[in-house]
Amino acid sequence: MRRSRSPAIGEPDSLEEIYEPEQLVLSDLLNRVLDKGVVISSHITISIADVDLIQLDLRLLISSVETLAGRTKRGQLPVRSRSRP
Amino acid sequence: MTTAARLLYVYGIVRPDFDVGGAPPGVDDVPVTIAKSGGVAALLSRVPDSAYGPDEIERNSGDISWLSPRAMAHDRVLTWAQDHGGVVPLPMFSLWGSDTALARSLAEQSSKLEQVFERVAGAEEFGVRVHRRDAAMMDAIDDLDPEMAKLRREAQAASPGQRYLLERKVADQAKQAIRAASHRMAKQVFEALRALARDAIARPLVPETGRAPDATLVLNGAFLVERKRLDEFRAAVGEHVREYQPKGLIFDFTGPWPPYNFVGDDGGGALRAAKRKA
Repeated sequence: MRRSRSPAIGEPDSLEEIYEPEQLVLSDLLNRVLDKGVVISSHITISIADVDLIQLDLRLLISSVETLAGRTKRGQLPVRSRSRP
Repeated sequence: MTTAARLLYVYGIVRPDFDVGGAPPGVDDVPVTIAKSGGVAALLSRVPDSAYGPDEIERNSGDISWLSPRAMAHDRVLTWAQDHGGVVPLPMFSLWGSDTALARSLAEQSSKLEQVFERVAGAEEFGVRVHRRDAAMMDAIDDLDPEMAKLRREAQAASPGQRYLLERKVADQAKQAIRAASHRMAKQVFEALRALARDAIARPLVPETGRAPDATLVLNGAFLVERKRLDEFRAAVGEHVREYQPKGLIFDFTGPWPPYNFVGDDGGGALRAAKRKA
């Protein structure tokens, strides 16, 4: 099952006119894995501070439809393996 | 390849008795293993430094086609770990140069990490983002703002000459009224959902140009929800959608996620912390 909007909220069709679900989830995912998480000191310092998350969002959008459509076909988008708890 | 220098790419921290059997492949399909130290353990992949050295990451991390599959792999490992006993996520590209260095870091941070485990144990993260659509809100403006309703009634009842001026006034005030109403509703949504969550964070409203022409972000919330309250939380999100969608708000509901937003020192994350220090 793909991590996505919950079916509990209903009427997903009306929302999908606005956002590609894959685009939404990838954007949410990037904003989590890049910017969040516990920081443990004294590991090798890799600076990705130059990657502005706003720019990242924009780049994501620019590359959106074509690239993401291709990725969907190749099955690279996150797929949840578990059922909802 | 066997002689190439290796870095330890750490996805997250798990409890020392965590069983790594059945883990999905990590970044670049490298297997995921576990390293224990102190009262905690790290989930990691051994990656070549030719691919994950500081320069390589600096060069590539702005390239979405390089970044995306790695981000998905990072999340895939953490999501699996979250489903198999719980995990404290680390940001992407948390790298150590040797087993010794990693063991030392874990030992030093062990008690802090155990506290973080307690904070997020038995709970899942959900994202609720809310946008307003100005055109849809304008359609509902009479319900949202009594002053605007009054003004519009006056405009309709006015003589042709007066009507023009009043309609100008309606147009001028509508923008502000829509903004105020959307933020009021967003706050109501956030507070109501926060009451059902163990913890909640309202993230900065970073503009998302290009998403939809007339959609403006008004809430970027993350909620840490106890597993026993998931159904209740989902139902509440559904109720809010049904209540506010006709008033011009649109909802993006994602999850469950590993507790990315709730493990930092400030509940926040790596980049933000690094920027503050800089």
